[in-house]
Amino acid sequence: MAMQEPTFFILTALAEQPLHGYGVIQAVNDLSGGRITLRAGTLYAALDRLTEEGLLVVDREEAVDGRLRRYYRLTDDGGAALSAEVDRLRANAALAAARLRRTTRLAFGAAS
Amino acid sequence: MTGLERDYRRLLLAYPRAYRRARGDEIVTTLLEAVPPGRARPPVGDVWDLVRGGLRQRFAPPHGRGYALVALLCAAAVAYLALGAAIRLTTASENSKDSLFLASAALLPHDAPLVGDQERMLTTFGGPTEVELTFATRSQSLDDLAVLVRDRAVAEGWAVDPIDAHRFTLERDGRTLVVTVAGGVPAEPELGASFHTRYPWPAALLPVGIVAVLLGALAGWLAGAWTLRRFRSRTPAGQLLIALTGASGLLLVGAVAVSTAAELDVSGPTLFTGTLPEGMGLAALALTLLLAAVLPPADAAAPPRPPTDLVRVGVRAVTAAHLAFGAAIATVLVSFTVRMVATGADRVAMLSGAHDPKDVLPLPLYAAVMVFSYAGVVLSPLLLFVSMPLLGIGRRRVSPLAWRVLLAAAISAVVLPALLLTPYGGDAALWFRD
Repeated sequence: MAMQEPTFFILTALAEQPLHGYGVIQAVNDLSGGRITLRAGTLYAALDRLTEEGLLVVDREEAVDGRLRRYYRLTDDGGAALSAEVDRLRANAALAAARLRRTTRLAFGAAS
Repeated sequence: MTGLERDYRRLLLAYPRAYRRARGDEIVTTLLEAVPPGRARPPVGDVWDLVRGGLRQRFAPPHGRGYALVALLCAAAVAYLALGAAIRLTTASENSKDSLFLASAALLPHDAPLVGDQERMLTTFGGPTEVELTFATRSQSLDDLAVLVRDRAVAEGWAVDPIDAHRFTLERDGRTLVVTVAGGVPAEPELGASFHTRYPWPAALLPVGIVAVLLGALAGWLAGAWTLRRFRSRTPAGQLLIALTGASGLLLVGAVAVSTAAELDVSGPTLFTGTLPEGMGLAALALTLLLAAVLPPADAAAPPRPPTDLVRVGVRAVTAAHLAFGAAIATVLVSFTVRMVATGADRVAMLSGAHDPKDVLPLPLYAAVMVFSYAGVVLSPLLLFVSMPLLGIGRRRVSPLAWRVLLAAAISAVVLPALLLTPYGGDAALWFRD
């Protein structure tokens, strides 16, 4: 089944390095070009679900100025799920691109 | 603590306490880091997001489509039960019930040894009371009987309409009865006549019915979601127990609901579902809640177990389910046979009501056997869709003993329900239903 876009970006954000809650929100915002701004309730529901599915684990905790930051890390399963999704998206994109090329060639003949 | 943090902590009250304790500080940290600088109050978007997240955490079924479907089934089942309860409670005016019952009893021929039954059930909202007079094989034809009954109604002071296909309408004191004279049950030749009176539900109570359905659906959804959330954190054995009991309860209530819906068509002979299957369904659903409440959770703090082999777990679970259903059906057959042999009665005598199955088994065991044998007739053969593939792929992956036990369990899932379909098994089931 296709991965939801916020899930895709959360996993992508964590692919590089472990991040804490706000770090994930920032990274997802950057990666999506400002399209997706996660709010805390939505973010933690997603983190809970992904942790439960074994795609994420808690990496470490940090207490800064009486605040608690918990860092999340991608598991091997999480990496595999993300790369499966990447393959799926790539295959879809290649398919669409090939069709578009063929249509363009038919429209403009073999002149190019 | 700043005012903003206090506001956020107050919003987190939407979440269950255990969740707040585990994640609250972390979420507040994230909220405070993410809020634009200079804000004194949480943005409206955050308020909505946290309330929604908290309510979902409290009331939604676990993530995944299957869970939502089960919660919907629970909502439908409890909505139906609530409607049934509302009908019984709001129309409990026994006086009018008895007078109508006696009035329709007075229509029967004097010499008819009769058995009567009155059931207040959802036929229609409003509409007439339906009386069905069922005569067993007698010398008179149904046409003659219909004329006889109609003449008696005239003598009793009813205004009567002409007979149309053994049906006619009576009116007296603003009451309307629709009487149907029908052929009897050949299996009960000793019975002279039986009659059923069906009372429709007053049209004025329609709003009460709608409220009952809505509240029932809400309660069913919440209870289902709660049970499913508990279900997920139980041990595999606990999950199997909850799933078996819950599926039996839903199946029984569903079967009653379907047969009630089928009876809404009153043109044909009516089959009456007693309240027993409905009560059993309700008991099974209540037991499911109880199991979800008391069964211990799987130990989350335990070191992660080696990855479980799904085939082995599946073989064990399916074998247990087949055997549980099989044992219940076998108990019905064996207790019928033992009782018959011990008392020297024949099959007809066994069904006369003189031999109570509850004398043979203690009541809790009787109820459990009843629920599991009822549900097993349907669920056990359905489970073959799981156990047959498991027999194929599990051959090399589980011990030969476990494989053979599953094979025997799968065979029992065919043989035992099939035995209940034989005349002898049918009598046993009928006797056990009491």
